[in-house]
Amino acid sequence: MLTFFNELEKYFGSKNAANLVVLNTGIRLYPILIDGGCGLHGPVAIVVEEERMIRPIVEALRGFADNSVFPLDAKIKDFKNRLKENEYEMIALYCRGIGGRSENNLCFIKNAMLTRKIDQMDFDGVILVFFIRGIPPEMIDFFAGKLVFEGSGRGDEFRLNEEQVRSFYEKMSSYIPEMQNVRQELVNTENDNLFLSAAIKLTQNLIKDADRGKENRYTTGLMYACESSIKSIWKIENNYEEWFEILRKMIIQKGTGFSSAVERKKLSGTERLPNDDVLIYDQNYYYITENFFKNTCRDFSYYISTCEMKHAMAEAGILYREGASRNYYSVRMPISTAKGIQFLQRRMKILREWMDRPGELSWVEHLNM
Amino acid sequence: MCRLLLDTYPSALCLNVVKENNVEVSLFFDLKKMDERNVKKVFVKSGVYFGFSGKKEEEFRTQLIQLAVNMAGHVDLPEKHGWYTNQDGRKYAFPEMLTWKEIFELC
Repeated sequence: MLTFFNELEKYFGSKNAANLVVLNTGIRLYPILIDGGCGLHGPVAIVVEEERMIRPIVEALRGFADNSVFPLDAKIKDFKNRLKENEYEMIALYCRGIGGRSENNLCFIKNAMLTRKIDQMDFDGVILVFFIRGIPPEMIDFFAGKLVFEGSGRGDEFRLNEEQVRSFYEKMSSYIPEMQNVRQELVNTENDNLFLSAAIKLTQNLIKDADRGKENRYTTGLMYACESSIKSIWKIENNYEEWFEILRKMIIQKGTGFSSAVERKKLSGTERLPNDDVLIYDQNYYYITENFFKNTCRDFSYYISTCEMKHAMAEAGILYREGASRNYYSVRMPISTAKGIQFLQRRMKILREWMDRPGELSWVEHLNM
Repeated sequence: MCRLLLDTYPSALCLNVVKENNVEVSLFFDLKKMDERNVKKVFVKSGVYFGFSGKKEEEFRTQLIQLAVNMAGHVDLPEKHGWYTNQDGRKYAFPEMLTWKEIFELC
């Protein structure tokens, strides 16, 4: 187990490695965890930053299964066949966007995981659904948990050692009787997520076993890391916070390319209208053009539309909304030029408190540097 | 050497034969389809002949199968690879192990 962890750490970084180790234990032992009443009520969502990370993560978690990734929006017939063909404990799917088929298929896999049957055939595998950057809010209810993998590391080079997988299963066969005790222990502590807790507990037992008699700080730290790291990102909640954070990061990233920042008060008397790449600000708000916002949202518009994002931001109080009946998401900014001509430019009014985090450089400071 | 690959349902017979040129071949028979036509098909497909004329060859094959069924050892097979349950509890079928699906592809 320690060798496997060290190898994952080398390729994926220590935080990702801890999550991979725990999830790996849970997947490998899933049919036994179900017997012990620690099953999942739906698939697991895996969020990655870049598409190229999907394959290495599947490789690290696959066990004896192949490392192919099937699209979530495939025809239901192909989809069922793919699930039926699977012999081992894991199936990896990739969400290319929301839509009728994706949602129907998600509904189908959630039922399959709950009933443990696909067309009268027994099914007891864990289904992983990969997303890039975030999970569409309307899909969140289908999942039992989520894991976020940050950064890519050297994951591309990772290759699973099947001998290690074999010895893991051999070792695990001796752990089966212990499952009853683990379950009892978990029930007594009133755990709300038995799958995750059982996977953590078994991983810790494995680590302890691998380091029997040595009891060093590394093992203790690793055990703690496994627990805290995965627990902090497992919970899945039906809100837009995740997307807001992604959007904030992307605005900052794209916003560094702005040519200048102008204070709103100083706008009057300008030669011409400010361009898309001019940031306007006042004490409480940033004013950006719709074009800039649309371009920023385009990168993840597959999962969440620009309109939906604006609505969610307005609901959360991040975006200022104007108009009693029509609810405009942008405000009209009067600008008078040096020649005395008045212009009205529409800009989106975004809360500075949300954009600028304490302890970090604000967007304006960044541009004025 | 022969093994009877039995489960509650279905069941198959595996016969390991060493040919003249020291090449070992495994013959798989579905015990639910043990008519002469199917038995002949398996022998012919694997290129196993006893060198007799048609009728005698058929008789020899029948005798061999009868003998094999009587003396074969029993092996429980998993339905699929991965975790499975039998009378002894949970077991793991590694990729190189034969499963029922594979046996019937060979029969």
